[in-house]
Amino acid sequence: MQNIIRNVTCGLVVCGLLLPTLANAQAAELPYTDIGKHWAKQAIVRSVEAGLFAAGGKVQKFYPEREMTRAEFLTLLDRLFFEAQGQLYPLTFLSEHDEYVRGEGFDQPYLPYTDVDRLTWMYGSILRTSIVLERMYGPKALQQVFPGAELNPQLPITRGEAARLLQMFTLAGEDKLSWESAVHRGWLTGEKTARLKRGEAAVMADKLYQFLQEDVILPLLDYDGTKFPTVPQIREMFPLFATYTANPSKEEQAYIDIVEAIRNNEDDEKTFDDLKSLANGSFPNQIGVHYYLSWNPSTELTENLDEAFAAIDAYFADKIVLPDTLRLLAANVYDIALQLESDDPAVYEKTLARMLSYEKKMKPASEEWQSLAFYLGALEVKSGQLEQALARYRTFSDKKPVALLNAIYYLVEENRLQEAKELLSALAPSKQNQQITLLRDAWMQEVATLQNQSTVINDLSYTLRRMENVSSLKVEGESTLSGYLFKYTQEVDQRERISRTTGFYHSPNKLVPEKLEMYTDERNKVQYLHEFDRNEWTKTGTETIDFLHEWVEGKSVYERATKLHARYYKQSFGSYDVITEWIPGAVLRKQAKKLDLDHGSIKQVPVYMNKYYIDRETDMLLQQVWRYEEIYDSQEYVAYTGKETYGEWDRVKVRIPDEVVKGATYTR
Amino acid sequence: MRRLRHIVLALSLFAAAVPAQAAVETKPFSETTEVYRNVLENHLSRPAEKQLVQGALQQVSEQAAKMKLQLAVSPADDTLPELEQRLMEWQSRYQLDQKAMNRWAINGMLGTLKDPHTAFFTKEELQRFQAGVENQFVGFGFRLRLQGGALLIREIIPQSPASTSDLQKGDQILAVDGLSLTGKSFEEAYALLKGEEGSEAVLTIFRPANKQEKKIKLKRAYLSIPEVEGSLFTSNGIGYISLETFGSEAAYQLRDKLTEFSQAEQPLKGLILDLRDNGGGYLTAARDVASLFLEEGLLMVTTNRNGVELETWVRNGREATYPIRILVNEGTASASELLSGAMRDHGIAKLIGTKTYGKGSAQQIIPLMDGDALKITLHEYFTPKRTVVNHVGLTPDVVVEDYLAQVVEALRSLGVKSFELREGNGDTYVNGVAFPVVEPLFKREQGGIAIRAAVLAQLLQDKKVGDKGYVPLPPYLQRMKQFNLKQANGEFLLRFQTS
Repeated sequence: MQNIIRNVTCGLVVCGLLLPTLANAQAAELPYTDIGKHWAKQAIVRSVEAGLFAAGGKVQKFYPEREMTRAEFLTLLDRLFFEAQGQLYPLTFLSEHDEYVRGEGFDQPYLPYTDVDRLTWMYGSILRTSIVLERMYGPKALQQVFPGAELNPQLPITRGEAARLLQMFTLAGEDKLSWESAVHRGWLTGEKTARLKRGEAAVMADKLYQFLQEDVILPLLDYDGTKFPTVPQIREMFPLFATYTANPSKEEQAYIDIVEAIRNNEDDEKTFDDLKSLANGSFPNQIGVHYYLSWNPSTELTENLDEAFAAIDAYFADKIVLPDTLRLLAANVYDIALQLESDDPAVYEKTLARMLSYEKKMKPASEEWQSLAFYLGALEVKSGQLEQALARYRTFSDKKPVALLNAIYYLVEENRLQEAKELLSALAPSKQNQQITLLRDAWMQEVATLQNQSTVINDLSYTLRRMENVSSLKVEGESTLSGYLFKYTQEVDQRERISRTTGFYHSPNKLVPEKLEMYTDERNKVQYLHEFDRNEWTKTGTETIDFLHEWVEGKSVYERATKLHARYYKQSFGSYDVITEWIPGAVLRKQAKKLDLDHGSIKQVPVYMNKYYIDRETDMLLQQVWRYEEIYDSQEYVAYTGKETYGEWDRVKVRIPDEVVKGATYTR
Repeated sequence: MRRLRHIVLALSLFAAAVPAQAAVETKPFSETTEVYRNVLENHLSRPAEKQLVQGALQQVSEQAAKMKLQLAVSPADDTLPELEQRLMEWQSRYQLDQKAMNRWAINGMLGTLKDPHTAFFTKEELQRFQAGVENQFVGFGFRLRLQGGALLIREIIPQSPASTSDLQKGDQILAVDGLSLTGKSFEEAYALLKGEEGSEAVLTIFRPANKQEKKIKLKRAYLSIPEVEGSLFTSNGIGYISLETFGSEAAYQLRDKLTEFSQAEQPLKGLILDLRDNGGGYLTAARDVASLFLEEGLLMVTTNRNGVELETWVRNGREATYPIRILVNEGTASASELLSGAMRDHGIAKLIGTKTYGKGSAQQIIPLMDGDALKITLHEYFTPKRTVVNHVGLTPDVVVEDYLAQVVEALRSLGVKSFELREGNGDTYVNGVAFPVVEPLFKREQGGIAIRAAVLAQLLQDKKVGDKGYVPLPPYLQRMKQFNLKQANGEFLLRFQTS
């Protein structure tokens, strides 16, 4: 049962657009004693409720008129990031908020300042913020805002500095736009050089927190292929579908108990036996009965799907228009179809046909029809009928943001950017509906960046070509491959196509790391490895490809963009340009079908992303971070993550010592 | 650009399959197997297969001999399957207890390593070990001193059963549950006092102040004793901090103590860090402690069985703006030696005392089945300047044998010129800070008061005074104006002023 619940909830909630959930600001008791008459009271209370400020215990006062220090602001930023980490994941590749201060490899990260000590209250938060900023914007990103060897955490922060830090949420492309974008969103006001008061910071945090409840960070990006087609969020998944009095009948009570059991994950076979007897009798709430029968974990999914349809049949038999109810029932059908996909590739077409039969029972374009249309559109996308889906989404894209988002996404996918833009422009900004305005801004911004893809592709290609043209370079790397941790230095002679790698690696099956030393001779397609235990060298051929990522690495940026549908996103911060690259797993899987990989054929590619950090002055690549996840037919799951830093251009010399070449034994 | 692509294949990493968990648990000697694998593949000394197999079999055979069973060990057995097979044979033939056999075999293997720091722990032993590192004990909540054959309460730990009872500092404990402690050694008394958490005992005490005998019933409880204690010496602006263990609270408590010192009237001019009898603890705690004195720097270099050298750095610390003296002795071990060595190498501290223990290795605790665990030596460490610690110990910059004389020397080397030595409440005070000493500082002899020779020698910087036993004080008092002795309430107070 748990498995099904998890799957279903995943489909129903995560894919949905999050609607704003404003906490009621009428708190019974104020969290601080000094904000009763302050103008920012509401924002302060909401921010405390959101966990952005500490209150209670020793903390009795907020000091809204005091200037906020750099340390306080960075701590606030850390808490806001915690809220947004899921949305920012495709830009940070960081997921475990508490874990990443420990580092991902052998070395623990630390702050580039001498005046923030590790054993202080602020250290953890500032370090985490620094790590996130470095990941998003390159080495020593925090020092781009606060230069020098000292952070001076006790100094008041200026609004301009705050705006630059907030760029991690606004994604304002250029550094200098950070102020504009923060002011535009109403987060900051006044002069850039003015100091920020704590009350004002609370207002900013409150607005930003609400902003983060919306799907506004790269809304058109589907980096792991699970977002689109997107469907509305369902809040209540376990309703009764009827109202019962305080004294329910015996049957009613039985039904209420059944729903309660399923809701609390306490259902068993008897639960569904009882439910079946309600289906066979004269119990009036057949919507509920069939809806919950579709949750039976011990019946086949196809049978569950039939029950889900039976619930919709019961809904129309009742002849009462309840759009919310219909939306849940349709969501349920869609979700079971998603689960059936692997067993029955044609499930979407079949389900679509059955769903379409209800369309004529409703008033066209009514609220009720829209409830069904979200899922008709999704099923059309899934069965490859993109044009129909687009037409359907466009029908009610002025009424429902989810429909608009899908319409834009698939227009963009089809490379019909102009149409997407027109659709967005047609949407009048509304004073009443701030949400729509906010979303529209975010989507416009993203469509604009998508129109700019070719520039980013050119920039990245240029840098990577420059890299290829240097005679030699040095690589410092740390990576994890299937639990094996590597730390290495690689000297690469690109003229001779020889490299030497030294370092160590740590196997997940061992408690201590082992030494690593090897030479690669690409011209002769051979690799020499030092076997330390036996103190001898072995050689292996390098012609074969083991993993999918090796194949992708061989592709140029142009090929990735055109053949693999890679998407690029460029951000500038300080002296770096940072380009993030996402390659959709579905395309990779399709393209890799023909490949002969040593690890077997590829089954799924959940994530494939790279980040390139480019020095704007020299156009050289300074660093690359990657995360690839590959699942092979053998069920082998390969996660490859890492970071490499490049330098010493044209200054490295490598040659393979004679004793290595002569003494090596061939292993394979 | 080629990344590490082919390494994986070349190293055939995936070939080293881990046995499935379920399969492990069904085997009768899986715990032995697990320890065998861990030690064989990870222990610093790179033990041989045969060594471990023979060690295990020998030990089982020896233990069986105690039960009048003769189990012959074949010298040809030198692999894990042979070990398992032999154990299984013996077990089924003689109906031996599986659990006991596992323990014997494990201890036999570990015995061959000649490494006292690699050890097997039962769940209870592990808990006790970890509690020890965290300075947590089960007890009544007082500390004792043995004075003139009497066991006196030296200190009552706050928030302990003792602190909420009638017990007072200075009370003499006469008996536990009716068993007399008179004439008992410290260890014997301790054995009688200890017990399970929650268990009760009746203590018979004697209070010298009102010459009363009393019976007090107390329950033993789980106690968390501060890892850090300390105070400022009178005047001078010099602080004293004693660190008992490197538990998870050590660095935070030390930080708070330093904060407390910084709020005193005069800025801290020097610090004595007492690591005597500190047997170590967690490496992370040592690093955090070092970060209170060092902004950034190498803490240690480790090597393992594969010759991989790794550096551990202190980052984002703070610079000590005052000189530090670290007190060390033969009980200063492990993390204490690591910290002492690093602070000395960075020129932050000087070591005073006697040669340290010499435990220059680092262990990790590996969970086994049913809460058992293996503490296994993985690394040897060296100080930043590559000084070897293991089996050698650190030789202090100034070697001083006597416990109190070490404190005197530390103060002297920090520029202190006036000393005030006093006995009271069973403790000995040096410039206002109490030290528990085993042998008293002063003694009344026929010729008047005598003082420990080693302390006097340290004060006078005169080796001719000698460092054994006691020397009469009156000749010095008469001869040297630097001395001033007072006596009040039967206690002595000796002042000494150097030029």
